[in-house]
Amino acid sequence: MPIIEVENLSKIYRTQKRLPGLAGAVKGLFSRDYTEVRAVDGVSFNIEEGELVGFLGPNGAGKTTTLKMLSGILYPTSGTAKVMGFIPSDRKNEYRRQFALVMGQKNQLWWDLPAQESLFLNKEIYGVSDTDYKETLDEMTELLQVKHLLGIMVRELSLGERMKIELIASLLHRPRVLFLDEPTIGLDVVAQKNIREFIKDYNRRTKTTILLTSHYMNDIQALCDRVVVINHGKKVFDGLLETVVERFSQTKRITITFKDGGVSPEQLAAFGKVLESTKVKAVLQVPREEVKKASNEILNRFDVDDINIEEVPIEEVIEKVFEGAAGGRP
Amino acid sequence: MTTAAPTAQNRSPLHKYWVILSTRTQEDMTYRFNYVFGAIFRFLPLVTMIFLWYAVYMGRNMAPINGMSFKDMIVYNALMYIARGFSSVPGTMNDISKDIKDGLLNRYLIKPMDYFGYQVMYRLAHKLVFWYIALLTFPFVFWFMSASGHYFTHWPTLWEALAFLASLVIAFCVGIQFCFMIGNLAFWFLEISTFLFVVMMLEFFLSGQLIPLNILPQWMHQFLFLSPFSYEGYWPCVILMGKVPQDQLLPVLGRGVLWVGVFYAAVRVMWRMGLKRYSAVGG
Amino acid sequence: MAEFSKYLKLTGLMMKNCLVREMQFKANFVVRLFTETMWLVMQFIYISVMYGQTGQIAGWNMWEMVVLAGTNHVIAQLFEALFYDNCMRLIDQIRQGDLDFNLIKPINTQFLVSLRYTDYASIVNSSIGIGIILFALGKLGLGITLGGVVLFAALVANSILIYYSILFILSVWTFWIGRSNNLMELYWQFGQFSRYPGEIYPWLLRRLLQTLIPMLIVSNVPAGVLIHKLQTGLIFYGFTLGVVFLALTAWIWQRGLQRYRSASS
Repeated sequence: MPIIEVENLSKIYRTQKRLPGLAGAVKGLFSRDYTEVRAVDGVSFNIEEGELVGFLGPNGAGKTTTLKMLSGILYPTSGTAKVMGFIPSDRKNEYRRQFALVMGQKNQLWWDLPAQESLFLNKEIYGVSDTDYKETLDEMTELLQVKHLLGIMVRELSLGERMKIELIASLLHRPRVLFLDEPTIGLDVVAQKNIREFIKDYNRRTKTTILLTSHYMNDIQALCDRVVVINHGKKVFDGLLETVVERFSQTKRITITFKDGGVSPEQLAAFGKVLESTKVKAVLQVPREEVKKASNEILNRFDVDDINIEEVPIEEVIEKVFEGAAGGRP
Repeated sequence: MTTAAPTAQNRSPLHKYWVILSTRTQEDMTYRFNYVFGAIFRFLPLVTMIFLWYAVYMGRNMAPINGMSFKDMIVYNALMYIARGFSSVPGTMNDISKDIKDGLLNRYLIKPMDYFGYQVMYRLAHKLVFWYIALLTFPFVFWFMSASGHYFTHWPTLWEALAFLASLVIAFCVGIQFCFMIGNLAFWFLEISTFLFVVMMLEFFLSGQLIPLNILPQWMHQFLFLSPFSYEGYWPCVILMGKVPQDQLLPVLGRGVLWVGVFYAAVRVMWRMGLKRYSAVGG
Repeated sequence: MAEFSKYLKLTGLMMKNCLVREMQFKANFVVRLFTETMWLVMQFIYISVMYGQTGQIAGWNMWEMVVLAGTNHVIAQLFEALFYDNCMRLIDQIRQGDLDFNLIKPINTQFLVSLRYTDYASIVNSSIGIGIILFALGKLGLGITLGGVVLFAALVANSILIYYSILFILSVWTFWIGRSNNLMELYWQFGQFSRYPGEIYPWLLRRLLQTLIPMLIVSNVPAGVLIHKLQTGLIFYGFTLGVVFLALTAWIWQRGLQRYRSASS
């Protein structure tokens, strides 16, 4: 049985339409028109226990809204979500004791107090025993190398340091399900990498189910085998990360190194789109089904030193999916 | 915050102030419940005051206090509501001192407009809606007061009516200039929010809002009547009530104008000195 | 019972955190003491000007009125110490979507948002009110009994909860209307009603202030116990009202949360 079951989940916001100018404001006093914004529109997916799933989509696609519905922060307009058999919006204490939510853009720590005070408060709220608390805290601070930061005022921590403490605060009660919303946003490359590695390792060791959203493809590539892609509130893809490329990209890339140059882009244009062409090197974009034929012919016709066939980089594919340019909706 | 579009060059230089004014009013209107509630419930203190004074007058068999009958007292408090509606500009001191302290001033200084001109317009916008609501409700209140118990016994003469209007303008000018003055103190003092609170309480008392100034002990009168704060509440009320002899109207208003001038000069001087200091420490 | 002691412990923990926090801003403390005392002085000027004109107001003499003012001060300050800040913050949290972390904690969310911040300056200020009450009782020549003190304390606690309920409901209103700082101003306006004896109001208004907006129950009932000016019925009524209002807050809070939008920062 899946640990997270989402079926036809929708969240529709009503916002007031307002005419511009003072006249519009006066009119708004008496009558109001509303527009509907479908933040999440009939999304369904299942996640098995222990999975680490990436949740992808451009800004405003509905990722965060979905996470918030799974956390019970927002009530769905329609559809159902079940996590560990609980309906999140009931906000049962048994449920809330078993999951955690980390948001890169929001802060749950007390600003004017040393970090450890916030951690201790969370311990009490979640009813973690003293021994478990000490053990978990030691382990986590060791892994994230933040032991020396516990006594420092939260407002004086860097963003990266604060994020690590946030992670610890959320994991003290050893949740079975962890929602991570942009955990690396705004962090420098080193901090991003630290957190990424921590998450990966944590998932592997504890078999905690993790659902992660991120802007950075690096995060997703490093962490997730499976991704769910949503755009404009609708699910557009659900499957293995590698298959995103197969599904959405009808082309492959051929990189050719010539022995003694002299091949003009015009000569290559017959095989596919020329992305790059210098005296010694050329990059071609060729439709998937013609790759074999094209590479054979190139080898025959030109004096080739090396030839390399690759998939289109995943960032570019995803970018296209987001733009809606890539065809082949599943 | 948005000022006029660049195409507005041939418009009057005052146009941008109108834009500020109308933007601010829109902000207020967007939250209509908020507004309606705010306007209605500001009457509440008036209700308590009326009943409390009634109990006091009952205790002395309705004998007037220093020439103020119970009915006078009611009218005074109702008029005070209008007068303070003109002279109190809540939030102004706080916002200005915040702008100065947090270095937000820069974003105004780079714009081609006068900071205080902007502030006046911004506040005026807020007041306009209030005045509009007052205009709709107050005639009704006064009609009710004169019809039900003949509270409003004195019908003002033309001169008194004109002097009343003038005194309201003075009330607004004194009130807002005073706010500017106190707000400017933030150039020199880091933490003035407490001071603001104390100042507002003094204003509450010295303007005659808490207790009519003329029923306070005699020996305080000289000081109270001459203070600038009396123009924020007391004078408009007693002028319309006909408690000021006609030959005294002009001298009273004259002193008020004088205060406006003194405050204006003080604001400008402080602003200039403050800015020097502000740019010296780098904002 | 275990549950109750957990909440008690959490309250203590949050109060301790606030104390640690407050220690960093010591100057604030002194300043608050000063302003609140000023405010009290203003009220006494007002009372003394009124009593300069008449010996009694609606059957209350001056020192009885001072007991009322002192009681009101104690209640208002303690309420502000525990709940006022939290209610104010709640409005912003609802609007700016900062409730998220409060909602996912395995604990009563209303408890968490209502008691997070404690304002210690107000607690100290409330002691001034107690001093005033004792002074005025001395002037009246009234003694105090242990039973009287216990009843007074229970009624004060009940009044604080009623205050809290009213203000909490006003704050939660933000879920529906989007902004309500003017509503918070209502607290100050309503506060006016509790400062004076209920006897000054006409019948209808007085009943209104004893039921729908129970500002008279809040102050008049505890003060009445001290100056022996009370019907027993009102005491029971006051406690019942406290329970009803508190239940109402829980209900409205749940309704409001369904409208929470969690706007992103």
